[in-house]
Amino acid sequence: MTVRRFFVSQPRRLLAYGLGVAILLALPEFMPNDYVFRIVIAVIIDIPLALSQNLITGFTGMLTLGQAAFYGIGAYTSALLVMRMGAPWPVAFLAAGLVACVFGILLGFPCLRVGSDYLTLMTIGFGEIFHIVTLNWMDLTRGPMGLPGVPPPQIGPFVFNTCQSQYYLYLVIAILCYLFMHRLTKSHIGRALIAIREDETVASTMGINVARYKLLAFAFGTLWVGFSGSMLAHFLAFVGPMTFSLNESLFHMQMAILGGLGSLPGSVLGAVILVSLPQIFQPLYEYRMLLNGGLMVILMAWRPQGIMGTSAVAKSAKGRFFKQLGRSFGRENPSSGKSKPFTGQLLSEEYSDDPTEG
Amino acid sequence: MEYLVKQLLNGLAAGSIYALIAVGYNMVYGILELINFAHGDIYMFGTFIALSLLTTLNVPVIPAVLLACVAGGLIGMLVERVAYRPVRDAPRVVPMISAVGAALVLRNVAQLIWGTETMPFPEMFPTRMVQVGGIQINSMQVIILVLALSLTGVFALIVRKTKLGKATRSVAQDIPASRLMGIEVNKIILFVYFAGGFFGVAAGVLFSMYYAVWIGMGFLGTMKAWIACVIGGIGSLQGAFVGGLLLGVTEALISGFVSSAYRDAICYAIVMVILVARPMGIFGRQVAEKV
Repeated sequence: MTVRRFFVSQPRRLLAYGLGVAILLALPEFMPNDYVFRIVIAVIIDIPLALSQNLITGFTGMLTLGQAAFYGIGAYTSALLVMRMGAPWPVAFLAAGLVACVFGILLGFPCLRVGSDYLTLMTIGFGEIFHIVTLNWMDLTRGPMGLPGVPPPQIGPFVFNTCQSQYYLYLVIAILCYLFMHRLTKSHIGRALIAIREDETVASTMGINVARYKLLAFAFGTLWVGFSGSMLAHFLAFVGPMTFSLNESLFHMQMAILGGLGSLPGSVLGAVILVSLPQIFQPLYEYRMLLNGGLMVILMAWRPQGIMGTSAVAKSAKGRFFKQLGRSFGRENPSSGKSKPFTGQLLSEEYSDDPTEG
Repeated sequence: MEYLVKQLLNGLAAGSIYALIAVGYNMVYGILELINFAHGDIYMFGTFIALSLLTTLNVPVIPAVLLACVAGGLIGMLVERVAYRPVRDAPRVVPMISAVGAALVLRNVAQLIWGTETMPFPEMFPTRMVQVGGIQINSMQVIILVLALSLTGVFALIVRKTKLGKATRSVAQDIPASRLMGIEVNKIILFVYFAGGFFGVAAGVLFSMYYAVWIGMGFLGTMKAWIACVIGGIGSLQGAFVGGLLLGVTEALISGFVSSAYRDAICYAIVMVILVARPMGIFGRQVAEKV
């Protein structure tokens, strides 16, 4: 479907998108002060983080807890390139994503060899290694002192040194990220990732190259985290190792699961809620781990799919995807009692329009 | 030479504590194949209880430690009941996230009660330096080594020789079949979490005698136990034990001869290499995946 046909055939959607864009464009006019404005920008920076974690955990089913390392790699790459090499901002920005992506693929290779639990351990281990190296490699990172004075983003002669200009720049990047993830997850790649999440063995017998798609998820899931890291570095004007600890990785995970694993709008919602709520409830700062942790436990027991997630994540044993598969092959489904002969159009008919629906 | 022996002793003392944590952790892992992210925080909590009993309430050493161990076991059961049982049949990601949540809750509660400062643990045994063949040995290290090894032995005996241990091993192998044999699976699982917490706190007390008490020791312990299990092979008690000792000795040698700042980073790197080369650990056996 072309873009034009899409909008002509769905005027309501057009209206909704138009309204959304208008609100986002006009938002800076309603900012009471820079403090609130900066929180809004922080939300925007965190949206790609939540989306990336969702791609890896929600769509592909790999529980990684090392995303903070890639966030840090992006931030340090961008800051160091601009400050030490005098690189222009766009180059530093792109390099931040690419370097993070290269490390993501490098970590992805050994992760392919191990089972799911070990994968979590390996990603935590990678995060810890990164943390320790940034703390101790004084020549490069200045250790715990960090890198202060990172200049704001600059394209040609234009310097993004106000909240407003940074807001628009980062908003464009975050929207690009969303569209990227949207196209990716709705494509055959996205369906392959979901199949891997549901059942790796079945997925590989269906002809899905599990290793290749897992690596893809790693690559794209770290690319945008690197971009986010660059945004953070130039927004805060400071990069320090303490930002990129295991708690940061846990935070990415929390954003993804609160909004809903397997739902992109959910991730945006998760980022909005989890970044802004702690600012609103400042007095509860001491209780934040308690609230976060309690939320995770309750959410997992009561609604593991999160606010907007797919129920497929929550289904026990085999998910809906393969139940349908069984049904399509004419096998009796004990729950519905109906059977349907295999028509040869499984993927295009039964599971075509929205792989995340459920 | 003397330096090497000293480092080896340091490593063995630390390693025996890791081994004790890892054995309990491995048991919990083996039964449900759930990474118990809260394991370390349970023993951290129990160790703080022991500290409070010893310093504020002036309870004598042995009852205080025993009480704290029981408390740790009860917290383990509570965590199992609240955070793990409701999601036991869900896909693996779900209980793991739930476990992380439980760990965060425990850590925050401990932080609210005891604060974030690092505290010294009261000395329970007099420490002195003993001269053996020209090498000075810290008596505390020997005591820790002996206590940790004998507690691990007790744990192994319970699992190997008692009826309860037999039921536990049965549940670890096959839950539905155990249920058919008349084993009350839920009770056994609760027992495993109790045992994990109990021996965890015992290890935590030894750990704190050796180092100190602080909020972060829980996560540290979880990771060390996990690394020990990976080195030794998940699901094998001897493996976890040997893995713990190996980890302690390796750490001591790295910080003694290579770099103490990069010690943990090097350990993680070693574990990653082991995982790639032998995904089932050094002593683990390849188990066919259930389809």
